[in-house]
Parts: sequence; structure tokens; C-alpha cells
Amino acid sequence: MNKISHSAFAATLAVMGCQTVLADQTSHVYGITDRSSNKVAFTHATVMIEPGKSIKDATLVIDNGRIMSVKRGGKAPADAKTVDLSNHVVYAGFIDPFSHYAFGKNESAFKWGEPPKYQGDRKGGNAWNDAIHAEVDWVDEFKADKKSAKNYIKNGFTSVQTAKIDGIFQGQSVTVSLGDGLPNELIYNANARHFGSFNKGSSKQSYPSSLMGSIALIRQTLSDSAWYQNAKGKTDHLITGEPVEYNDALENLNELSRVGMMFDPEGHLSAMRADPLFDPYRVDVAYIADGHEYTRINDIKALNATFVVAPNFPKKPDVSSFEAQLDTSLAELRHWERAPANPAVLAENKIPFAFSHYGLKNTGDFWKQIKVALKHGLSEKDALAALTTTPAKLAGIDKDAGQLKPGMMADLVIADGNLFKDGKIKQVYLQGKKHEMKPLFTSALAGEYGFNIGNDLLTLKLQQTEKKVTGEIVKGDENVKIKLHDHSDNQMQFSANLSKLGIEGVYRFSTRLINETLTGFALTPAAEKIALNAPRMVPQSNNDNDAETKDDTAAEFVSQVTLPNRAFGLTAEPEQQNIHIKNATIWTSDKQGVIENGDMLIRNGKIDKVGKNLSTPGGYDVIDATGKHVTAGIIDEHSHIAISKGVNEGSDAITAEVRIGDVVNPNDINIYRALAGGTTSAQLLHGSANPIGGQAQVIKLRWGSDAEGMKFKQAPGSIKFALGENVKQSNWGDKFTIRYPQTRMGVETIVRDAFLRAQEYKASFEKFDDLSGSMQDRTAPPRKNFRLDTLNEILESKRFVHSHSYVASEILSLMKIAEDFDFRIQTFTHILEGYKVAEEMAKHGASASTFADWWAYKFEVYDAIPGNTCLMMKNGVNVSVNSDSGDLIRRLNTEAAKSINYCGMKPEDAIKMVTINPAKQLKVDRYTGSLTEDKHADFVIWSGNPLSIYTKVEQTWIDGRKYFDRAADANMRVALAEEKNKLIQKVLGGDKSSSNGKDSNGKESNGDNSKTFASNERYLLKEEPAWHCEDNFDFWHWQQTRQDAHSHGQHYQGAH
Amino acid sequence: MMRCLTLTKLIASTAALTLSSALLANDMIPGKKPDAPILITDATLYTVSSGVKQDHDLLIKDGKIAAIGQDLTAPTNATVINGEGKHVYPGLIGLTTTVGLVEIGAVRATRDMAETGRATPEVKAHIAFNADSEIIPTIRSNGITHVEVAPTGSGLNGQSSLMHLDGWNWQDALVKKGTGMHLRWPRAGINKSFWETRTPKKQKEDNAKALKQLSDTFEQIKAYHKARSANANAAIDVRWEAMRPVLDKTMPLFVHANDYRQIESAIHFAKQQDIKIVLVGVGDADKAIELIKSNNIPVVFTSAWGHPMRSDEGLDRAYKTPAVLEQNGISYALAINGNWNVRDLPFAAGQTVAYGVSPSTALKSVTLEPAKILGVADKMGSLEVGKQANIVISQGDLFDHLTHKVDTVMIEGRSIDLNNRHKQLYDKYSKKN
Repeated sequence: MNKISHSAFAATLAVMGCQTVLADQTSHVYGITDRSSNKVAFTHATVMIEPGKSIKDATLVIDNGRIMSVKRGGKAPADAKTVDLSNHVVYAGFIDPFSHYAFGKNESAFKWGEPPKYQGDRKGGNAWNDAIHAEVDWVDEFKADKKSAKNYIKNGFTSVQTAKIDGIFQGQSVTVSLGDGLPNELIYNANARHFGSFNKGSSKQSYPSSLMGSIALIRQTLSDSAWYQNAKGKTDHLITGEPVEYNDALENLNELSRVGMMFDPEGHLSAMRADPLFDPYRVDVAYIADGHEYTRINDIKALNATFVVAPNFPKKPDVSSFEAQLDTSLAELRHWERAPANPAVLAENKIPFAFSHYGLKNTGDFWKQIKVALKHGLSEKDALAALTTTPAKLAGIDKDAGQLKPGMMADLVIADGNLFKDGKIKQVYLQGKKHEMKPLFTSALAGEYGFNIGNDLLTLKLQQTEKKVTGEIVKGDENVKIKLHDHSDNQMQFSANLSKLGIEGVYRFSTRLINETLTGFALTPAAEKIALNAPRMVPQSNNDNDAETKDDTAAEFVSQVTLPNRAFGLTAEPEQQNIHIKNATIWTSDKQGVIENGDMLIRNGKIDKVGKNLSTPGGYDVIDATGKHVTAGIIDEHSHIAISKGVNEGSDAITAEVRIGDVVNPNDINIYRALAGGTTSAQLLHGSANPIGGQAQVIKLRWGSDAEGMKFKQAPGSIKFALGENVKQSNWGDKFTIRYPQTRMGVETIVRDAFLRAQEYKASFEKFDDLSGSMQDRTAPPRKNFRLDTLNEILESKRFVHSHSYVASEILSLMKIAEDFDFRIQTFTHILEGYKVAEEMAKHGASASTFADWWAYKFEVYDAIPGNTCLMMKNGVNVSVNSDSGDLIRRLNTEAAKSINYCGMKPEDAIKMVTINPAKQLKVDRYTGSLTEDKHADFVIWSGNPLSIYTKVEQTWIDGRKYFDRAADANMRVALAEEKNKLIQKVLGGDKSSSNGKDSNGKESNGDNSKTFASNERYLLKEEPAWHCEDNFDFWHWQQTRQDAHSHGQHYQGAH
Repeated sequence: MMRCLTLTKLIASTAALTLSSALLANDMIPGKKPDAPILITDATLYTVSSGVKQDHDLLIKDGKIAAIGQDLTAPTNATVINGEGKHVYPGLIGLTTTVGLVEIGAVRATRDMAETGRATPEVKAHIAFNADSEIIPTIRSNGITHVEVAPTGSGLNGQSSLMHLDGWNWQDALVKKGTGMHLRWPRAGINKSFWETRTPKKQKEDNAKALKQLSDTFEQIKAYHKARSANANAAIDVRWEAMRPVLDKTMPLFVHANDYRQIESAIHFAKQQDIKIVLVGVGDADKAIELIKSNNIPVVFTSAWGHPMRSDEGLDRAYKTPAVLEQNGISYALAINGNWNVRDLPFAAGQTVAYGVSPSTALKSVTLEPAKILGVADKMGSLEVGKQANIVISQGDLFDHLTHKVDTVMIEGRSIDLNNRHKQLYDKYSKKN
């Protein structure tokens, strides 16, 4: 922890700069002291002092690793070495703010088939979880890595902010020069940002095994860090009787609000998930982009954060044949077309971003890709900012780098022209030390020189390119070409047959440019030497190519951007309409029962009136629903659609701290498909891997909105419990036999124990509150525990339990626990043996949500019967049927109808099982679930009796907005097919608007990068699977061991 | 019309049987061969082969349909079933199921559907068929009288057999063995789903390799067949011996394939090998209309409630595919791959009607078409004189949950106990309070 403070360090840096190219301060000097001069003056250069601001024909002087001056014209100091940079552009060295330079990435230690690891390895003052490395100060581990540096330097990078990229809290990074030398001299900022991600990296510890688990861990850890600041050094025997542990990780995290964080969310949706975690602690977080930011740019902008962008654009999707095209989605094609414009879209929206190598497999394409981004609308100014000033800020070195101003580091990139056009990097200076890739080309010889041979006045016109010198000798209107024999920067030998100019014979010239005069001699045909003094009359012209010109071949798009950006995404939120539905059979799911020839008025998103023969108020649209049926929107008590990166945090028996609400995935096509089945609301549940699982999230299926917009705001909190085979790991394999519980006995006990702990925890806060002010000052406060907080919400009946359950015994046990702790189980879900204990359930006050007819897929469902619904209903239990799948959520109406043929349920009751009954179970029945005045206008128009197999959904409405319309869907398909064909033509190059020309090898290029495509997961479009209760596997371990997927295929075959 | 109201109603006797078995909590007892003819009167007959006949009678003698007509005279001793207002269908036939091969999905000890190895043509599904499976009575009570049981797995899985659903044991239940050889066609295309971890390139290589292995296997089989045909004393390889009927075209190869590219390569493979195939799954059937039609390939469509196969496809693509087949004049059978859920077969057929299939084709897809594919269309699959009396009587439309109510199921004229584990448990717990 003995680090130099930030301000002290800045001073040190300044001093150190002066010493950079000399011996370091603290070593003994061996041999002769080096006192050679290292002052260099670059003359005639175009100097980009900052993005959008350049000085032409400037002189830039560096000394001792720092910039001394930058002036227009200017003169090289007498004591400086001069480098003529005519025709060259000097940029500030580029900075990569997110790098693992010198440290590497995580090497996964995990192998499939290993037993679970529940405890972390503790050493020193580290954190309890092996994915937290916040105690590491990477500056302590740093030394230069010449080989890795080379890859950066060739692209013009001179410094990086770096740490080992591994885990959730990865430690504090360090900003260093990419030069070679003593580490002590290379360190620019020892107090750089912390690095982090949701990915637990090399940690073998089971927790967290899902995205929501990682989120919960971050939430708890940041809270712990704040608590630690308050608690350390204080006694807490009054509260828990235990001393506050020494925890360096928590200590180190306390500086986050000062130094900020670089966070790789592995996906733009997850950036939105990370932001609320850090917000309360006022941490400045910069996010690593996934290249899809343009698809939800408003949400991204609202984060008010800086992004780090790897210029890595997708390869052309394979649409070369009918067969190949089968695997290529519209979403992929759209992204192929639009991804190169992502940087431009960020810039247009004033979202600061920095370019980075991170995530590039082939850094050799870096500049090629930057130019693709420019072609897609990114300005040179914004591009340069993304390489210099923006990353300088992120890396905490904006006072010292990122611009070419006196006092700043002599980190320079010298190019033979505008880098964003045809310029190439020739030299890079790191802390004033030259790193040469190619010799400078100065075109020193170019120009027009006057001389005479005899009485003939001749002009030598020389042009010079990097590779050769060409020229001609002119007399009046006649000219002859010269033949070059040899040349270097300032001397050349050539010959010319001057006969055409009236001077007989071939003359040979040996010349050297001295003081703007080509001096030397010519050898006549008779081998006589004639002295030559040819002053340069017309100087070389500076190629004025630094002005920004609009690329007239700028890309045009044929694709749409929709929300979500895939087939069937929307271009705008559906409008709220006031409508009058006429002459329908209306299943109210309420006191009015089923109304034949009924009318319904919808106003401002709510149901205004339901009855017969209503008159149409002014301004209402009328829907003639003669022959059609209308029901309330279908509600699914048990769904796992629209969830990102793991439905189970199955790594612990109790994970009440994790929240499905943190990982709602608004891009899931299952949302749209469920709407087409009439579903308007669903409870997204945690899986069934543990007795007390995560918190659930009730959503409305507002397709096209973002994750927050999906949430059913009025729904109270709920949580998933689970009992039986899944939680006792019956079908997890032989390795999973050590976690408590392994029996139904243990399940009962651990749940009971959890509630005891929650009560104890709550009491500790009360005890603390009772202390006097002075005692409180001396006493460590109890540590906030999100897991136990959640359990207390249950005990206080502020959060409601939905318990996965099958057999009678476990149902009775859980009700007994709840009664002992004075709360009630809200809903037993699955509950296939509910019919055996229906009376007891009714007495307890529990409701039931079951499958219509599933059974026989595992032992605990061998007594499942399709008459379960009727028997429970008969006993007064509120019953619903649920989907637990992306399939059944599309047809819950006919699932409900099964109770008609299996146990003779009344049709009206069957409809209630998918409308008002589940609404009650989710405690949203005040708002939805029936066609009742003043409730939300969530309803479905059906082509016929909603319980008939022959009936289809025609329209689905939520909040008075039409989210699905079968006719509109048909039209949309036509438009999507057209769009896809256009994109395919563009890929194939048959369309003129295809501006994505050919690359230097003549290959079609849209910044394609075949080498990076297959191997870069983050840029691929992968569909999230349709999760099931039992889809319990470690998402992070899975991601790391992608190559041996076959061995764990069975992990995905979950049932219920 | 003659009415013998004094005769015992078959319904009544069935009800009595139900009650007794519930009390004994016993397995349902296979039906007895009736001593007397049975006459169903004044019913709506869904004959499949000759349309829907209102107000018709159907006479059953010796387990066969003896007559269909109006105002048939009841033979002496005949049991008369008043079919007024009732719907009479031929028994439904479930193709490519694992009924009786697995009892409880998650319990390994009860799973007998997939043998180890990628080429096990020698195994026969009926051998493992558990006639006492608790699942069976729950299926037949929905009007399914027969199922084809087929081995599963990957690669060449083995042989299927046709079973009726009211046997004392597999030998008793076996209707026809060797109805087909089952092959899961190698993957085609690039899987971009979440769990696929191989690169597209690697996937392509693996796909090509699997196809090569398949054709190599067939070369080996053909060589064996040739050797055996030439020399009856040649040593027997049970695997390849089992494949000889496929090469002789006496046994069709059921190719389970969904992707267009699989379908396309399977059809060409069949032509090249000169074998008969049946396509099963066939999610992309609507993309392969010409191929299927011109090669006259039987189709078993298994995704009545399928999701779109690809993210850009319309949400009802799978629902609509049977209608596309019908519109293009391709006959197909509809099936549910599975075991306990095979009881949804009538509703699957109903679902296709919602999305454009004519009711007659929908009915045919679960009766006569499966019978044709199994080579038993001369014995079952329709209400025709001379065919087995595999009969389902429902109070209403069999294919809609709203009206489906099965009163009577007969297999070869034997009345089936419609009780099952579910009804027993329902009855038991109805008595709890």
C-alpha cells in the first residue's frame, strides 16, 4: 500500500522526465557518465498539436524526453540535432487505455468435469472470492515487454494503461510508456484506473456462475468496501463479537471514486447493467464497447461514459449460395453493414471514445480498420481524439501526453503524410527515443534547378517519391528524361541524352545538394568535367493533404436499425390509441363474465368501459370485432425468456442476492413470439438450482423497449425458491454430491437456517442503532448483506415467494417453515402434486401455477396428472398454468384448454387460469389480468374462441399500444425479405451503392478481417438460448472453455 | 332403424371396468376379444378414405370392419353403441416415438431408447418395449391406438416396429417389426447458437467428415451384402446383416433431418445408393418442395408447434409448413417425437388446421398416411370394410381441446380400458375431502 500519492507522483514524473534518457536517479553509475545531447529539432513539419489543430511548417524541439517548443516556422536551436520533416506530419503518440501489456490475460485453469469449488483461496489480505483481485497494484509487477510493445508501436502507440485482465475486480492498473528501459522510468501513472469485468476469469470458485451472480458480487463488494472504511480499526464485539478482518482488496477499492474504473461488460447491454452498480459510489467508469452501441445509442449516451473501441468490424457474412445463406440472419447482415459506422455514431452523439487494440486478434489491420471507420463517417478529428486526448484522460496522463505541447512527453508519431489518408507511420518517439520503422522520406531533391551547359540555359525538374527520383531536363519547349543511377537523401548521379535539346550526346551528372544548390559536375560526351552549380529555383511543394475532405465515396446504408436490431424489431414504440372495440365476445375474467356482442373502450392506455352497445367517443378508432373474441392479455407466472447469460446462480444453496431484473434481455425474439400468442406479462424467474434462488422480475412484453422499459413497475418484489430433485442436485452428475443439501431433509433445514440468520442479522442493526452516539463512533457497524436483506424482505412480506415444487411432502414442509416464520408462500410453481395437498394449500393461502399436462420426465413428476388444475381449483386454490418455455408461452390459451378436456373445467375458468389468476399470483391484479374498468389496456383480440385449437391471435395490446398485429406482421415479413435481399446483393457486390471497395489485394473489403472473425466471440451475434429451470451451468467457465464444448453438451438439456 | 336398447351398452361395461381397476389400483387389463359383433349406429364417420359420413352405422365382426352404411341391421347378439352425435375415427397412429422405451426421462435405469455407438442398425425397438408402461394408457385414452417405436441417438440408430397399445407384452403388442431403419442425418450448415463453440470452418470440416463416414459405412455394408448374397455361408456381421433389407429396398431408411441441406443430401444419397427413404422431422420441407415432390419421398413432419428454425423466419413458419405441403400436393404424416407427449397427437393435427390444412388432410396425416409409411395401409388407417376395427369414438371433434372427449377406443374390435394412472390418481384424490 505504500504508494506515492497522486499529486506527489505528478511532481516525480516531471523530474523523472528530465532524467529519462540519462541514467536513472537511484542507481550507481558504472563506467563513464553519459552526457551526450539528446536535443532534437524537427523542422518543416506539419504538427498536429491536438485533434483538429495543426501547425504547418513547424519546428518542434524535444529535449530529455520532453517537448520543449512547437512553433510555426521557427528555427532549430543551435545545439539541437535537426531532422527535416518536410512532407511529414507529427502526431502525439497514441495511447491505449485498456491493455494487458506486460501482464497478459487470464489463463483459464478450469476444466470441465472438475468438482465444484465453493471456497476461495485466502492469502494476505485478499477478498473472499477468487475473482476479486482488487488488492493488486499492477505497478508493482510491471516491467517492459519489448516484444508486445512492438505490436503497439508499429501502430503509433506510445503508452498504455495496463493490468492483467482477469476476473471481476482485476486490480489497479498502471499507465506506462511502451519504451524499453528501467520500469521506474517508464511509469506514467502508478495510480491509474482499476480494471474490471463481469467475467470471473481464471477463478475456479463456483460463485458467481452467471451474469446476475457477478452483478450481485460487485454490488456486495462495493458496499463492503464502503463499510470497511467505516469499520476498520473499530471494535465490533458489541455487535457480532468478531473483529473486523484485514482486507486489502476492500481497502484498495475505496480509491475507485478517485481513480475510476475501466470495465469490460462484454456487451453493450451489460454496460447498462454495470452503470447502476457504480453510480452510488460516484465512480467514473469507462466501458469497453462491443461494437453494437449504435443499436441502442440513446441508452448508451445516457450512461454519460467514455467507451473503448477496438476497430474490429465483422467479416462479410457468407451468402454465397442459397445453402450458405440459410445460416445468415438479417441481424448479422445489418451489423456487417453498420458496424463500421459505430465509431461515427458514437462521435455524432458526443459520446467520447478511445480506440484500443483490446480484442483485436490481428493488430496489423488496425489502421486499415480505422480508415474503414472514417469511410463510414468518422471525422479525422474525432479519430485522432480517440487515439490521443480521450485515452490520455482515461489513463490519467492528459497533463503529460496526448497532445504536442511544451512540457509534454516527447511521445511522437511521425508519418509521411496524413495518417487518416495515405500517410504511413515512419517513426515513433517514445520519451524522446526514436523507434524507427522506415527511414524518413524527405523528398529533399525535388524541385526545379537552373543551370547552363555552354550557353544553353537548362532546367532540371526533379520529382521524388519514396521509392525513386524521376526528372527531366527542359530547354524551352523541349525536354528529355533523365536516367537515374543512384541517389540518397541529398546526392544523386544521373545521365541524360541531351541531343534533343540541341546538345549532342549523353551527359553524366554527379551532384550533391548543398545549401539549396545542386553542386557537382557534369561529364560531357568527351568525358570532360563541367562544374555544376544549380540553385533550386522552385522548392518542393508540401503535399497539402491534411485538410479534411469529405470522402465522396462515403458509405450508404440499405439496412434499417430497429429496436432490437434484428428481424421483427420496431422502428418506433407503438402509439397509444384510444379505441372502441365493437361486437366482440368479451371474456372479462371478471364479474361481467363473458359478454356476447360486447363493446370495450380503451382510453389513455387503460380500459375505460366494458359493456354492450357503447357509443364511440370522438377521436376513437373503431375496431369491428364481429365474430371475434377478446380476452385480457395472457400472463405467464413462470418464464425464462429474455434473460442474459445464465438463468441460475446455482453455485450456492442460497443466492437471494441475485436479481433477474439485473439481466433482462430486451433483444430476445421470444418476446415477440410470445406476444403473437397473446402473452402480455410474464414473471421471469431464476432457475431451480438452489433452495433459495434469485429475485424474479415481472415484465410486460413491451417489444422494442430497453430492459428497464420492459419491467412491470407496479409489480412487487418476488423471489424463486425451489425444492426437490433439482436443488438436491439429483441429476447433476457424480461430482455434485458435497453441497448441502443433498436430501429433502436438508432442503427444509437450510431454508430454516437461512431465515434464522436473517433475523439475527436484522437484530444486529437494531442493536447498533441502540448504541449511544459515541459508542457508535467507536463501534464497527454491522455489514450490509444483500442476501440477508432479501430474506428479511420475505419475512416482512415485502417480497413474495414463488417456489418450484413437485411432491406433496416438500410442499407441506415449506408451508410449515413459512408459517413458523409468520409469512406465506405466495405461489407454488409446477406443483404437480398440488392436487394431493390442495386443501392444505388453500388453508395456507398459497396459490398454484402448474403445467397443463407435463409429466414423466423425472421421478418427482411421476404422479403428475392433468387433472391437477381442477382438483386444486375445487379446493379453493387460485390456479394458473404457466409455460416455463419459449414454446408454451406462445400458446398458453390451449394449455389452459387442456383442463377442459382432461378434467372438465369450465371454459371461463380455463381463461382465468391464464389471465386474472396469474395476475393475482404476481400481485398485479389491480392493474391487469381482467377486462375491468381502469385496469391497464392489456388485451388480446382472437379470431375465435380463445380456447380452441383452431383460433389464432389477431392483435395483442399492452397499455393501449398495439404490440402485435398479425396483418402487420405479414407486411413486415415482406419488407424484411426485401431488406435482406438488398443486403445480400450488397455483400455480393451486385449493388452499386456498395461503397465497400476492394482492398489492396483486390479482395472485396468492408474492413473485413477474416482472421478475427471466427475467434472473436464479442463481435459475433449469438442468440441467447431459451433457458429452462434446470439450465444450471457455469456461464463464465463455459465461455473460457469454448473449445471443448462437446463434453458438456448435457448441461444444456434441462427440463423443468 | 332398428334399435336394441335392451342390450348392454359397451360404454357401461367400460365404465364398470374403470371403476374396478381404480379400486384395485391395478394396471389396466388388455381388452378381451369380443364374442359378438359390434354395431355403432347413427354416428359421424370420419372414414379418411371416403370422406365424412353423417348418420352412418359401422359394423365390426371378428375384429374387422364388416360393413359401413346407413340403417345397418344389427346381427343377433350384437353389441350396439349409440353413436348419435358422436364422432368416429380410425385409431390414430403415432410415428417415430419412444413410447414404452422410456418410463421416466431423468432416470437412467428406465431409459432404453438409445444404444451406444454411432452405428447400431442391429437393435430393434420392440425388444425393449414395456407393454406395462404407465405412459401407454395415458396415450391411448386420447385416441391413439398404435405407435411406431424407434431407437434414437446419433448416427444409425436401429430398427423401428409398429406396436398396438393394448398388449400383455411386446410380443403381444407387436404388429409389424422392421418398419424402418433410423438414421440421424449428419449436421449441415453452420450452427451459430449459443452453445456451439466450434469455428464455422471447423464445423464445415466436421460436417463433411460425418458425411464421408456415412458413405464409407454404406460402402462397407454394400460390400458385405454382396459377399453374403454370393455366399450364404459367409460369416455374419449382425450390424450389416440388419442393413440388408435396406439395400434390398424391403425396409425404408427413416432419415431424421430438418435442415434443407440435410434433406437435399439425403435425397441424393438415397438415389445414389438406390434405397427407399422416409424423411422425418423435415423442418425445412417448405424449402425443398420440388426435391421432395419430384423424388416422391414420404415425409413425417414432427414440428407442429415448432419454433422458427432461424431468427428471421416468421413466427408461424413451422405451424404453416404442413399447409404448404398440402398446397403443393405432397402427402405427409404428422408425428410427435417423444413418449408421454404423444398423447397430444390429435391436437397437433388440429393445430395444422388452424394454419391452413384442410380437416381431411389433417386427419389423414395421423391415420392413413402413417399407415402407408409403415406399410400397413391395407390393414388400418381408415374406416374401410375389411380393415382392422381400430376405432375411436369421441363425443365431439377429436382435434380440439374444447370438444375432445373419447368414450371408446377399440383395437381390432377389442374395447380398451380408458382408465390410466392419471385418472386413478385423480379419482383417489377426489375422495380426499
